[in-house]
Amino acid sequence: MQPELFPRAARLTALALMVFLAGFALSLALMPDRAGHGLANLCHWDCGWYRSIAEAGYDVSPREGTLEANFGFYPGFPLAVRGVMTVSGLDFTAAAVLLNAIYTLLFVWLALSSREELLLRSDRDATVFVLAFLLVPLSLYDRVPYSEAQFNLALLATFVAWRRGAFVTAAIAGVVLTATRVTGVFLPVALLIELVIRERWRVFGLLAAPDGRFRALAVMPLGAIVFFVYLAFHVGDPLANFRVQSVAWDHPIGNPIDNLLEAITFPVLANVSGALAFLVAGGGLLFGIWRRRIPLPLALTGLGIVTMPTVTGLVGLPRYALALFVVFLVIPAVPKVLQWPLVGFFALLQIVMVVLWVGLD
Amino acid sequence: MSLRTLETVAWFALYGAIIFFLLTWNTASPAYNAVYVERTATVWPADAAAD
Repeated sequence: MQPELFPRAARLTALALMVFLAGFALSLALMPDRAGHGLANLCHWDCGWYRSIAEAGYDVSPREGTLEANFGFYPGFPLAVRGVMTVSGLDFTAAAVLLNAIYTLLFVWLALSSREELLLRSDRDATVFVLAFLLVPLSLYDRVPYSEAQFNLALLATFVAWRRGAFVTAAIAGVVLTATRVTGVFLPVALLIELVIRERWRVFGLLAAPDGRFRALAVMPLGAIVFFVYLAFHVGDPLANFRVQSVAWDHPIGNPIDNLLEAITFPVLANVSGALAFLVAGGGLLFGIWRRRIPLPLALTGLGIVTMPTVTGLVGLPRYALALFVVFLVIPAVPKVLQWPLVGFFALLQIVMVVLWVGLD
Repeated sequence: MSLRTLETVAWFALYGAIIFFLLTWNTASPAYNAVYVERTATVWPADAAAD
């Protein structure tokens, strides 16, 4: 990372945090009864599961009276928050919000330092990309106690380290990536595809004498695998994570086309927003490949991450698709006259999104 | 076979063993299996459905 870019990264991060804080302050002004809850207003839905893991570890069995269990969630993020809690003495929500702010700063600094690797053509393009990603409404999930910020940083760090030939760093970041969410495995798969295409004349030579690239790719999925092995001994079922997601949260494996068509046949908000997010993010990623705005391995990873939820239902797809930085690498391809108004519009929508988030029961 | 080739073999063997382990290991309780694996019960714990 380039030290001279740190002040710029700090300013961009501060701007994003100020937009988020503006939304939070507006929320408390509109809902004064919530002011007494402080940062706890930011902890909804999956946050509660991450908190239970960070505070008490993984459940041994599903919870009585429900089909749910916290082993439906991956360990990377709650483990990191647990570390911050131990060092700082903060409670879960404060530690997670602080950690996500640090992740955001590191992400911006690394992104600004990696223009070439990310196919960003100028400093202006890099700034537009960073601000569009940080201010998009669903980037709310990069601020609140969710695993998105860690996933985005680990994804970027793994890719950049790989591109720079720092394969040990890439392997370590890749382990964090796949321990944060199993869909991180799409990155080593995409890097392998790119490697095989590039080295197609000497694939067997590479297998006969593996180098740092091969070794890094082999190590990256171990973050998820170690979790599955842990579940085998803790719960008795290494696939407990998938099973509880499928049964308790109704995410069975199904036909992605049928699931997408549900946006038309059963047009509730979750289905329509999921299908729209799929179309917008998937279209953006394909456009990015076509116009060489997104590096192929990142675009393939993004397509995997965006497509996966269509197999298991559309709930959560907007978050997976539109809180992912890869999609926003195409924003610098938007006509320049529209770029800053678009970023400003994103910021206004994020403020609205924060108000809606705080207002959740 | 060189040491480096053996490394490739070892990685493939490791991943093969992992896949075998993930697909075959199950020491969970019968109640868990009824709900999450066989899907013959829809209430957790499964015994509660019979009560």
